[in-house]
Amino acid sequence: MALVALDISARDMYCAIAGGFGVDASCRHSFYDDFSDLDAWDVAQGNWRIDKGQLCGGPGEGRTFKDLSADDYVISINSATLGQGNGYGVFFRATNTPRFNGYSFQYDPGYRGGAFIIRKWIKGREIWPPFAVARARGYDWWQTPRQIRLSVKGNTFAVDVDGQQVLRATDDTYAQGGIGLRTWDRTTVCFDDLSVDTIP
Amino acid sequence: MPLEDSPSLEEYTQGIPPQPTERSATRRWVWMAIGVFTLLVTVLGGVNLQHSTAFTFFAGTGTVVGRVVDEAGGPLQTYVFVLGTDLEAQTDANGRFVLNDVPTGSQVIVVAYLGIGREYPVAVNAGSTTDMEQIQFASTRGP
Repeated sequence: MALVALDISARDMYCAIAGGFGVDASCRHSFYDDFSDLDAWDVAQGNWRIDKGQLCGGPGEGRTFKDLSADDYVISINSATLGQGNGYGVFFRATNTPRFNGYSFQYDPGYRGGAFIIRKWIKGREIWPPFAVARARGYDWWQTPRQIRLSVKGNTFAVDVDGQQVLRATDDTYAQGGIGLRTWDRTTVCFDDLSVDTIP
Repeated sequence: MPLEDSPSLEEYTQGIPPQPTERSATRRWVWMAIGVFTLLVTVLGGVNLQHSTAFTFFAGTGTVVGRVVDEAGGPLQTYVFVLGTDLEAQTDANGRFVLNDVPTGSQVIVVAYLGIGREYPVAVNAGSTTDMEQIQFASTRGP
């Protein structure tokens, strides 16, 4: 009761103790998932499953979300491997799921010969054309584990793939919201270890 | 000022006595701070009002109409939204839509069909109808 009054959650208490010993990675982040299960995710559509400690999706249109009441943050995916198909997406600042508003970064070999893009979503519809496109013809899109880092701060979004910035864009439409993952068409993809760190 | 509080002539033998500058300077700073604070409150209040429904009420609303067609010019049955609002309409069999009570100013109309949306900017004037005429919607996922 006293902890509730002080706005201290059980997780905060646990992390205060576990963090002191450095034993739980989830305590270092606002959100962390090692994909031992799907419990943290709200699967809105598609074929999502846990496979050998990874979250795998596809084929077909798939969307899964994690609600966050946050505005500025960094999404880090330790490893994302596109097995086949036209690409995968990472949603950010998504609200009102599943008929959601928000953005997606897309690792998208299917877009005009291959590109990294960011697009807006309105009431569950993907807005065409994407407002940020970095074309990357000849990029090694498939079967290669990629480290993805997506920084969302104010109206500016920046994406690093394997430590190299591939895209930077601005948009003012949406100010806050959660994260998510997307597949479409023939895509199969697996993600390993995802974390979100809020930016003060 | 009562006569007994008036300065005597003796006080002026060495000229006009110095003004109590420290006190008046402090007072000036206080008034300046009050002025800045009042200005700040007014500006922030104005910004807040501009984003409120009350402002929309006072600024007025308009109507947006149009007709959505496909790439061949045939009518398209789609959803039509106003970005950032709950306003939504469906086109009729002829592709026509009417959006009432659209807030005035620069707005973005979103036409959505088969999971794809496209944005169309429009200027809305209070009490009048803006006709977007024919909107040709490319339903393929192309740029």
